[in-house]
Amino acid sequence: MTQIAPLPFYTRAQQAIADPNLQTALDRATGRMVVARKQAIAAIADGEAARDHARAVRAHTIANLGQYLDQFVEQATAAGVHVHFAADADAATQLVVDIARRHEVRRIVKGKSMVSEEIELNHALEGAGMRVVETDLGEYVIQLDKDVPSHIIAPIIHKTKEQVAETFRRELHATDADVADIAQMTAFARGRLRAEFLAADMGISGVNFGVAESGSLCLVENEGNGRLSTTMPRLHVALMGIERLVPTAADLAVALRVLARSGTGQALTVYTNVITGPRRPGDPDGPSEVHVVLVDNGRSQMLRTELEEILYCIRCGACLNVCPVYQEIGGHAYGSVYQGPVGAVYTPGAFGMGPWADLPQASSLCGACKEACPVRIDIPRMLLALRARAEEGGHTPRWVGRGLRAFRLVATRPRLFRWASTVALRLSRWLGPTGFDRLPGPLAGWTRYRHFPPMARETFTARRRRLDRRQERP
Amino acid sequence: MSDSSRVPAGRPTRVQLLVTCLVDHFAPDTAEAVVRVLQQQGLEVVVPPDQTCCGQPACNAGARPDAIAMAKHTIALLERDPAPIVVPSGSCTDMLVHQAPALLADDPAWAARASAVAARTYEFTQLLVDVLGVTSVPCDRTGTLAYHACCHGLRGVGIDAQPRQLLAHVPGATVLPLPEDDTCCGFGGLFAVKLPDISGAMLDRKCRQITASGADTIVVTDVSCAMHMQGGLHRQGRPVRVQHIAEILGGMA
Amino acid sequence: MTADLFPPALRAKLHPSGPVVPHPGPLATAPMPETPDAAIVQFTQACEAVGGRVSRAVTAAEVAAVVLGYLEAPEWRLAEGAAPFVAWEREHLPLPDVTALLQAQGARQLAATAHADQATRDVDYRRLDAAVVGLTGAQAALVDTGSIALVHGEGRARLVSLLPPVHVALVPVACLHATLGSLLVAEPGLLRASANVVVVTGPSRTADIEMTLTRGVHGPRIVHVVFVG
Repeated sequence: MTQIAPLPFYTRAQQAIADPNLQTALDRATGRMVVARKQAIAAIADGEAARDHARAVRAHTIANLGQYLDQFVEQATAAGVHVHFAADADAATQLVVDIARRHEVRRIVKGKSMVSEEIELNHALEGAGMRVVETDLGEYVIQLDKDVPSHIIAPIIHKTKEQVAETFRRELHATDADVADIAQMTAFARGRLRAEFLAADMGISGVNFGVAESGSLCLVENEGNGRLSTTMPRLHVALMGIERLVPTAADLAVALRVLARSGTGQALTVYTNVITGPRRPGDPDGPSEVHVVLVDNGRSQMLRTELEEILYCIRCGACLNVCPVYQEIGGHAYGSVYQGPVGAVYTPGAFGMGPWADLPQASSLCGACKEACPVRIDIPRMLLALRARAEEGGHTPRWVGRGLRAFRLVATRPRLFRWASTVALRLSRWLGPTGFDRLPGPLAGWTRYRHFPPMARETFTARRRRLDRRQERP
Repeated sequence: MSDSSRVPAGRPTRVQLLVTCLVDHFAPDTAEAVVRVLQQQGLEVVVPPDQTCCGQPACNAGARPDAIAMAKHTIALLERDPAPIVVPSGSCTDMLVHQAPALLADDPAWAARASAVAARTYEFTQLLVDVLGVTSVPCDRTGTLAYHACCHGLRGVGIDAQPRQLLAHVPGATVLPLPEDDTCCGFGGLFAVKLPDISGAMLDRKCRQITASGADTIVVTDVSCAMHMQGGLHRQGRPVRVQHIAEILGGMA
Repeated sequence: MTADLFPPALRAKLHPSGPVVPHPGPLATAPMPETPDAAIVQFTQACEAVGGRVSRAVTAAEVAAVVLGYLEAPEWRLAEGAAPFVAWEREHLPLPDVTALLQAQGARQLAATAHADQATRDVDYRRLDAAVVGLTGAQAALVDTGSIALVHGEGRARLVSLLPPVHVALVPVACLHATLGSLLVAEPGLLRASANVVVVTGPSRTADIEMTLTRGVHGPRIVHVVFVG
């Protein structure tokens, strides 16, 4: 992924915290989804068992990925799908552009696909002279605004309805009546996008799950644009990460059982599409040709390592919704297509520490993500593993490593520790008997928001030693 | 999430207190209160010498060699005595019970030693409720209390019902709900100084909820989180106190 | 053939490694309610909770009345009378005479085929886009989520349940299943049997703008399930 935000992570985070519009939007969205998730999982008697089962299915699939990928390729090909593999983003975009060119494609309609954003596909297609229209309502607005989505599931959570109305007025010449309220705006967009579906030569989609036993592509959505993009144009190209497989149809049902519930609190999304090849002889509609591009682009970097577990992810968005850090900084701050807790592991795991070392640091390790994850991924464990990599690789500020090494040298020598303790207590009580409102150097971050309390006159253990010594004297 | 397989067979008569570096240096009276409460329950409380730090800050910062060195030091000083270990901190308990064994899993000399210590290490309220079967500790605290669930204790060790039960049985005090009481306060160890603006934003949210609760005291199981929340409330001029649960049960004003 | 698709470096990583992770086997799902009537009640609760409509019918005339209700509604009726409709071929509807009855009562049925060849396809789509009601059968109804499963193919166009603002689905009572999982276990060849299977759970919706729910975004605004038999 070549897209790296121009500003460092922390600067973007600070901007996000200071943005009142974004803060309101985040509160509104994540709060509702957290409540909905708990209700939806609780609503099915087997909710917790379903999560355990979903995890086991994904773990088994990833552990045996070779077998299931081979089966998927074989079955999809037998069903008439053209199956391709792309090792990286450039290979993937090249493949799609080539397919489009070969078919003399001019107009493309696109459903939501994180992989397409990851490889920056729109950019490549537009560069080849094709017109690409995002058809998911939120993505459509993002495209018109030349903005970036801020949440996996709710891409324009950071926009108010007034901002959307303004976008429609400016880019689509909507009248006041067209954008009078949210229902009107939606109807207006429906009309505009309907024309796009009718005229498109090619539809692009993501894949929520590939089903190995039948070579099927499963796509879930609420609006209907996914169905339209994969039915109306004569050519359908699907983008799928190599890890997005389940072995059988029954396994698909298990994954779907927890997917929508965990992300938005729905029992199932409105449409669960399963595509097994192009239109068959005698079929009244459907695309004449279906392609699936299996994308690696860093996923295999994590296979068979301590980060492999992040590949179990089913992209529900629950971890974003419960994360108290995401709640404050939103998605843009991460600077990556993959945001929040999953993004903080996935991004450096797939694309390397270099520009992404900050992401695993942006966590208090509270564990809410692990608790919410429908496939019980231990994200905190992997954040710690990445922090160790960052530390060993020199990606962390010097003062942390040096400070901890010095602390460790003292903390493994009890007498030295006790001496240092006494010095620290005396010094601190002398300089700040009621605590500190300003600390120097790297510790200044504490006092920016908090009073620093006074240290004790004497530690508990020192007092104990003193009293024990007194008792020992006859 | 409480792991009941860790409860010992018989009722212990003696426990070792791992004070923790923050309690030792910033809140020694909290440790005194812990001792008082446990002695009231008929336990002998010993304080093994040479305690320094369990290594959690190093572990969380990814400084594995440093974390391992401090964890080994702590394990060695605790394993000399067979008595169960009590820790007045959910996060330090999580370090000894989960993180240290994970860090030492590939070290043949230390893996079993880490697991052995982990198997008999308990957070303070866990010891009272799960091990000793005590849900009511006599104390004359009054006023309004609200409980904040510190994250490592809650999700790492399974501490939730235990402190709530103990607080519910404080006869003179009223327990009020704290909105979003299982949402992180924003301390996160070094996170608080490495990413202070994010930590500060999380703290701000927590302080608003604390004010909304109407409680005069917030009760926690971790002095670290208490310092962070109290520090923020102090800076904002709000009169709410944040206290470790031992201070409530041990009759500290 | 697959050896060609994945490069050697990736192939090496695709081999299983580490401890064996067995497949967990089947997941027992929610049981079916005791009687078909109880099942329909539970289905109705779930379907209405997501904005769908449910009713029962025995005869083709009853179904035609439901469809005409929409075709003649003020919102959609044309100056000359009822709005047009599209439908699956009669042999794929549990009450095959419905479409003939509708035409007898003055409603025009538009052809539901979209030819593969581009020129006719454009004409086909414009025609399909004029329909107000899409009438389909269904392979199954799923009780716990209030969903219906549509298996597309010859005589069963996908766009019938997608382009018009109203979708009326006729489901035989015998086709009720407890969950999607139990359907897929009961009919293991289902996904492979068709180029496109869609499970529909209520009308099309979005909450993208300020988390405010709006129905009928790209797909139908009204989904009306009629249990037949």
